Amino acid sequence: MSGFRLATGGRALDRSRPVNASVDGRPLHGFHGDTLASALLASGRTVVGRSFKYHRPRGIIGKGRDEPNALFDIGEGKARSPNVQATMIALAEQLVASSVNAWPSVDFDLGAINGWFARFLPAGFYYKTFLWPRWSLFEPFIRRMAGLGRLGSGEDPERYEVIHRQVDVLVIGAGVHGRSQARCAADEGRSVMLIDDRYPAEAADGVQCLFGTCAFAIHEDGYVLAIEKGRVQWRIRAGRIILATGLSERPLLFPGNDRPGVMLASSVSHHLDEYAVLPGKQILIATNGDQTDDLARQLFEAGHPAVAIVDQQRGEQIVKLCYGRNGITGVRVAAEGRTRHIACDSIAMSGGFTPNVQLLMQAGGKLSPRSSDGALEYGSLPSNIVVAIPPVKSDAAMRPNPVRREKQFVDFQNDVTVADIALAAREGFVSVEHLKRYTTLGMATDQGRTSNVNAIAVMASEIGKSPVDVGTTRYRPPLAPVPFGLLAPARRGLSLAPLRFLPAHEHQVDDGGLFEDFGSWYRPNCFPRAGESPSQAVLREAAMVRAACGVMDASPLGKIEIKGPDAAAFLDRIYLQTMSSLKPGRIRYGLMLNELGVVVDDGVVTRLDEDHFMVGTTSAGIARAMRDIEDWLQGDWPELDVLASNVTTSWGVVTLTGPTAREVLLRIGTDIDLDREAFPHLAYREGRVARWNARVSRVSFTGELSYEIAVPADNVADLWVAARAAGAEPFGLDALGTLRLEKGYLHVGSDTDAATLPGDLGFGAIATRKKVDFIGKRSLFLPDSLRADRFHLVGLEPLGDGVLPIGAQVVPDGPSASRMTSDGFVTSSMMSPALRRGVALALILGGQARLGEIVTLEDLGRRTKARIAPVCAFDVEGQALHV
Amino acid sequence: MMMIPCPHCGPRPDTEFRCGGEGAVRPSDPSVTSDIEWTDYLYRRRNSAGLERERWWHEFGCHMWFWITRDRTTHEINSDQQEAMP
Repeated sequence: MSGFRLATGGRALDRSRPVNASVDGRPLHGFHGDTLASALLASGRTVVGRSFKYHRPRGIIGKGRDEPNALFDIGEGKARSPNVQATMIALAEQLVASSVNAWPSVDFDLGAINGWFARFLPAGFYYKTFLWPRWSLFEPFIRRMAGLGRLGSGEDPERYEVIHRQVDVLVIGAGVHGRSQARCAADEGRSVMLIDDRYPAEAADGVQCLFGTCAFAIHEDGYVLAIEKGRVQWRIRAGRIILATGLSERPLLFPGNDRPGVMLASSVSHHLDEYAVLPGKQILIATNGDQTDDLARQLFEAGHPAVAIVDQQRGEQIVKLCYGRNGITGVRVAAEGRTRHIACDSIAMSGGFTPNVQLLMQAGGKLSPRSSDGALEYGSLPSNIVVAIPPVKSDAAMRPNPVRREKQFVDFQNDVTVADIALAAREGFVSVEHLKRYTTLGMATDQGRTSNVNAIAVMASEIGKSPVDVGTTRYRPPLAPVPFGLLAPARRGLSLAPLRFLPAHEHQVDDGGLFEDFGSWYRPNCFPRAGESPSQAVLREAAMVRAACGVMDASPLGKIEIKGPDAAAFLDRIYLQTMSSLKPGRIRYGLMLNELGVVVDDGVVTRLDEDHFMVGTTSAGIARAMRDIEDWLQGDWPELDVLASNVTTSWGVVTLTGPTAREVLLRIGTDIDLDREAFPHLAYREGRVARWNARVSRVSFTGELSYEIAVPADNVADLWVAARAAGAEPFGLDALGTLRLEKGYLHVGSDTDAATLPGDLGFGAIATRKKVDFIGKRSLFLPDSLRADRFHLVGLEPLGDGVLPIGAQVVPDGPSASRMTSDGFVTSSMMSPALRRGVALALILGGQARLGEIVTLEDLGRRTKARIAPVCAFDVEGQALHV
Repeated sequence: MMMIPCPHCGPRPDTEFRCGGEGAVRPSDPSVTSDIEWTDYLYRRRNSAGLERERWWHEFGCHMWFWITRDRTTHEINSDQQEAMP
């Protein structure tokens, strides 16, 4: 016999409003107020799913979130939501539901073949099988079989939101305890929020209620995350949290307890009350205590009294479940040495009640037995959490059922039986964390909600300990499955990694710039003309800069303004080079080290005045530099009278570079004397450029005559236009990379790694000469910094045509072996139009003593040869700079 | 998600801050510091599973560096121990 609906009753139903839905393409009828589960039960559909491993037919057993079997994919195509519990979803007119893990259907599933081989597929079988000849042959096949539901195709069409709320008291659970706690707190005048993942009929007055809302994570200081109606993320900061999450019923352990037609007793009671649905006409109650007495009374009053009550506590054990084509037909019960048969068509089972403590445990709480009566107490709570769940007896009442343990199911979702737990114990996996991982119990979508406590009790009896000593596994959020889109609601598409745009962005787009994300700055790689490939554009632009004048928006470079009587002394402490000897109006290149002596940034320092400097950093290094500067000034050297301010985005920079840069700047218009003697290389001048006040520096990263013109950021776009009108041509970062590489100029992070010291870059002498202490200096004299076999930055000239691959390793000459020692690798590499060959830098072991040596390089199996050379390959004398 | 008590701004979510670890006092004259003393300053920290004094930086706020005492296992912060640097 299967489920049916009584003619009257059903508190949640509105029988005047019928609803038609579709399950697996077949129509399903019910009423407004039904859940998908209650409608399925009422229509007599007992088999609603297939278990994960053995593909055993399964029916609805629980209510609310305590349902492990009745999982459906809801919706189709893009909007398909996998693994939704049928007990949690309201029956609605357009509802489309599909069973999971069964083919072609739940009623006739080919996967049931797994069940025939159940004996060879116990817990952990995959550790001992599928090994020959190679696990990787079987892995794709096994992976395809894993999982239950299917994800929707394509991008998640749901639009998720985040709402923040601060509240005095957050009550989780709107049952009788939760509602009274909420009312009390509201009466005391506090702001109160009450949430529940069901839709209770009664709300609470004076309290903000969120229903259909599951609190899935709890963090420090009263921070709770909740998901409302599947699409709104609530981030709640509560002064006090009250957990009124109630109890969940455990399955009883007996052979065949997973068969369709077996339900949890509280679920039978719930479905009878709310939906006027019963699982059968001859219900047997199987229990291990008096908790099912109320159900017995309820069934009697409904006109369908239970056929019997089988109570493990009284020594009665079910030893066999009999079933036929139409479902359960009866049970065999052993008591006082005899067995007898009891006919029934469905079973209401109860293994006792477990408090829902997932959130409590996430917060670091513990369950421990009270010494007086062994009931479990809630302890180790953070001071802002109160538990309003009645204490329950610990599981001392469990009497193991010794019969057919491979048919007594503990975890219904992952097909873990009592026999599997005994197997784990035999194989030594007795710790609860090992038990979980070895058997996979509690690792499916319900996270052990109906299985954890039974499993702990079984393991305890296997190894002769108390369940409290076995303990529980660590609880981590989320408590229930949440969509990824919910956790990062606004971070999609371009918002995933927000870009920063250059002040002259639009003009560079108009000039044909090909843009890329460089450390969140959106910058042009190159400006290809019609018919030109990007690599052709790069070569053209680099050649153009060496022949005429290029213009670049260099605004992202870090700029820190340093001011105060101790500014010079401060800079001496944070740079390798001495900055206090810099004269006003002069510029010096500097390396910043960390305390390990490693080069972390490079840039130029400009002295504007006696106590006023501008520090330049790389665009990627500005955040770290500011952090460390604040750290040193506030922490290590509070006695220094100096202030530092990050002005990176206040000043934009337009760089003019090339032999004709002076003429271009004159054409733009300036009152600064640009004569070579008046404004030499590495000098700084203030004045008017076009119509703006500007700070102009003669600094070069290309090796050509360069003017870096800093104006307030708002003026950069117009300055770009003026530069273009004056004849400067745009060039991008790839061309800049080529030009600097020809000169052997450093790119920290590409040509250096986390171990590179100044000496490795050829700056070793400065460290020994500088007398005053600076960050990292002491580390330069540690034994590891002084050894001879360090990686030095050197140049490489390819012996053939072509460009050395970045990352190519320097390998010993001779045949390629499967294990080789590398003497270093290529760090930067480009085609040089000026030299008409490839040009590269590399970190090579002892490289400074190996100039002229020919080395072999290997990359992805291909070999080339190159000659070790000085880092600067072009215009070694720097003649182009001193014009 | 901890609330960090900034001495200047009050309790703010930890996402506004950067943790500076236990910190160590920089030797006043590194030129006379032995290799062992120097590498202790660089690397050696207590890292206990319990109360520890830590430095935090209010990166997306007032930019103040300050000390708190935090229990590394429970994340409870002793806010009356907080003080500005040094």
